[in-house]
Amino acid sequence: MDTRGRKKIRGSVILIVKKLVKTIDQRSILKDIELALSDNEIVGLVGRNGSGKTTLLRILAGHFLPDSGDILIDEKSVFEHPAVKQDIFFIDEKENFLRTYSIQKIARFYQLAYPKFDQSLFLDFIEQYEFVLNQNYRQLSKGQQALFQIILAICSNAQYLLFDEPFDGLDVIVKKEVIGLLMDHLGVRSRTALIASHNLSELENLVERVLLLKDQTIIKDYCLEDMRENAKKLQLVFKTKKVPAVVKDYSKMLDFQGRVVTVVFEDFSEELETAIKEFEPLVYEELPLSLEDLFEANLKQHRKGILK
Amino acid sequence: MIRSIILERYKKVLIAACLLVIAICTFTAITQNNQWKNFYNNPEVKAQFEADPDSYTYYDEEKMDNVPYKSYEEYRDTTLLFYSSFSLYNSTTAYKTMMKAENYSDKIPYSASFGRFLLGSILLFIVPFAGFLLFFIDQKTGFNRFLFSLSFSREELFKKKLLYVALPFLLSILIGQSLYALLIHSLIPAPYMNATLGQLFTSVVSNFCLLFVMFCSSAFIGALVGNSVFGPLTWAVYWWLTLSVPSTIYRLGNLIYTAQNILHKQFPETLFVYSVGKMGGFWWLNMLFLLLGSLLIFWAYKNYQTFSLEEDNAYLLNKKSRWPIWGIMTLFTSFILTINFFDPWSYFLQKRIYDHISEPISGPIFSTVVILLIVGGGCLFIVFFREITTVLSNKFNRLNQRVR
Repeated sequence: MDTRGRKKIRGSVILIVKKLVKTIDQRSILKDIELALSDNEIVGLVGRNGSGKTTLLRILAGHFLPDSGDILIDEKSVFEHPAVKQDIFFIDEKENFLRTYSIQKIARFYQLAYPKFDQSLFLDFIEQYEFVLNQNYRQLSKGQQALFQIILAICSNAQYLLFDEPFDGLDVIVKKEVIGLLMDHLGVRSRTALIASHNLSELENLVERVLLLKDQTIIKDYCLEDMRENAKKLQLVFKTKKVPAVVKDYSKMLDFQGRVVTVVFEDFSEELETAIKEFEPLVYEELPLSLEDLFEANLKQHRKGILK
Repeated sequence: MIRSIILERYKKVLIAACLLVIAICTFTAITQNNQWKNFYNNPEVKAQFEADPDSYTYYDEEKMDNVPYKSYEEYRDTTLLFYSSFSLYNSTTAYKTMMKAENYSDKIPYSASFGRFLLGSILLFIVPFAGFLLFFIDQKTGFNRFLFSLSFSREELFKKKLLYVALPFLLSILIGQSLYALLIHSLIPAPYMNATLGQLFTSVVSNFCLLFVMFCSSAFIGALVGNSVFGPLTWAVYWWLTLSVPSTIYRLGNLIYTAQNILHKQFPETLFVYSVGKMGGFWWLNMLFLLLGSLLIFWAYKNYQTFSLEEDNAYLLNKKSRWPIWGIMTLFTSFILTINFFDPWSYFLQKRIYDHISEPISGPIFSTVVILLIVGGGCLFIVFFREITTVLSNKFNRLNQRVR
C-alpha cells in the first residue's frame, strides 16, 4: 500500500485490519487488506463499483466472515473477543431488519445492543427532525431513512461508525443535514467514521483521509491535508507533442488533448517545478485539485490520450 | 443484553405461541369431553341399538367369537370407554381385558375414541413449523445481520436463542400436554376413563419426545437453508414425508416378517405416540428421539458458527454441508417413497410367498434404484442449484460469444 500522502494520523491507532482476504463465489473480492483507523478521524473509502467497499464494511461489521486475516480493536481480535465489536456501528443499507419495525422499536433494539446509547439525545433528534416514534421505518422517505440511520449511529456512541454510501439518492437539503449532523457529533468522544462513497465532492469536504480500493486491495492511503500541501494539478502545453520524461515519470495523467496535458503530481516539489520549466512550456497553469482528480488519476483504467 | 434483545424481538410471538399450544391442549380436552357426553346422552344411539340389538357385537375372549351385547347399558359402557384400539391386528388378543384402566399392553395401539385427531394433528404441524421459523425468519428478515454485528459470538447467539425462545416453547408443550392429561382424566367419569394418570403422563413424555425430534429437525432445516423458495419448500416436503415415517417403519417391519416367512406376526403400531393418551410408547425410542434431535441441533450449532451472510440466499448457508445434506435428503426421501408409496418389495414378496409365483428380484431392485436416482438427481439440482445455473449460464454465454 502506498502511504506517501499519509503523514499524520491523529490519536492512537486502535482499529487494525490485518491481511484480510475474502473470496465470494470463487471470485477474489478482497486480498491482503491492511488498514488502521485511529480515534477522532473521518476516513473515506473510495473505489470503483464492485471494488469491494461494501464487502469490507460488512466484514468489519461481522456480517461476513473473512477467509483469512484479522480485525483488532485495542489489540483484541473481534473474532476471539466479540465483546469489542460494541465499538463498531454499521447499518447495511441494502439488507437490514428495520423496515418491519417502528422507529421506537428500532431505537429500543439499538439501545439494548449499545450500552452507551444516548436515549435523551435520540429523543432530542426525533423532536428536532420531526420524526414520529410509532411511525414505521418503511413509511419514511429515503432521505428520512438516511437521516434516521445517522441519528442511530451518533446516539449509539460506538467508537467506529461505518457508513456505506450515506449520501446516495439524497437531495441537497438532506445531504447537508446529514453532513452537518456528522460533523457536529463525531468530534464529541473522539469518534471515528469510515465512509464508503461515490460522492467524492461531498466526501472531500468531510473526510481527512482517503483509502483507495483497487484490484481487491487498498492501494493508496491519503491524508488530504498533506495531499493539498504536496500534490498539484497542472495544465501544461509544450512546444512539441512529446511530453518530457519528468512529467511522464512523476505524474498521473488526467487528460491529454492535442498538446494540452492535464496531470496530477502527488509529490510536487520545487525541483520538479524547475525541471518542468526547463522545457519552457507554453502554458504552465495550476488548477484546483479535487479528490475526484486523485480518484480519476489512480483508478481510471484507460487514459484519454497517450503520453509520447 | 442478548436476552433483552431476543425477548424484545420474540416476546409477543413467543407468548402467543406458548398460549396457543396450551389453548389447543385445553380446547382438545374440553372438546373430547363434550363429544363423549353427547354420545352418552344421545337418545338416538339407544333407539338404534334397541331397533336391532343383534347387530351390535363384541369379541368374547372365552368363547373366542363375536357375541351380541346383553343390554344397551353393556354396549354403552363398552363403547364409551375413552380409549380403544382401532388396530386390525388385535382382534385375537385379550382385547377387552387390556382395555381396562389398570391393564396396559405395549402392543395395542390405544387411541381416544373421541376427537382423537385434534391434539395430535395440530401440534404435529405447529411444533415443527415453529422449529423451522426459529432460525429461518431471522435469516430472511435481515435480523441476522443485526445479530451478527453485535458484541456476541455466533455460538452465544445460537445458544441463547435456544435458551430464551426454543426452551420456553418446548416447555409450553409439556405444560399444555400435562394440563390436557389432568383435564381429560378428571373430566371423563372414572368407569369410562380407562387410563391411569401414570399412563397418561408416560404418554405425555413419549409424545413430547416425538414433538421434540420434529421441532429439532425442523429447526435444523430452518437454520441451514437460505433460499426463500426452496427453503420453505424443503421443510414442507420434509414435514409431509415425516408424517409418513411411522407407516413406513410399520410397513418395513411387516416386510421383514414376510421376508422371513413369519406370517402370524405383525409389527405393533405402537412405536410413535402421536397424541397424549393411553399408549405410552417405548423408553428406548424416546431416548433415540432425544438423541437424534440433540444431534441435529448440535450440527446446526456447528454450522451456525461458520455462516457468512454473503450466502444468505443460497439453498444451504454452509457450503461444506452440501454433500452430507444431499445424502441425507436422498436416502430419507427414497426410503419413504420406496417403502410407503411405490412399495415394489411388498408386491414382490406377496407374489413369492403367498401366491408362490417366482418373481425375479431384479424388478424391485430396479424400481428401488430408479427411485434413488430420480430422488438423488432432484436433490442434487436443489442443493447445487446456484452452481448448476452458474455453470449453465457460463456455457450459454460462451456459446453466444461463439455465435457472434
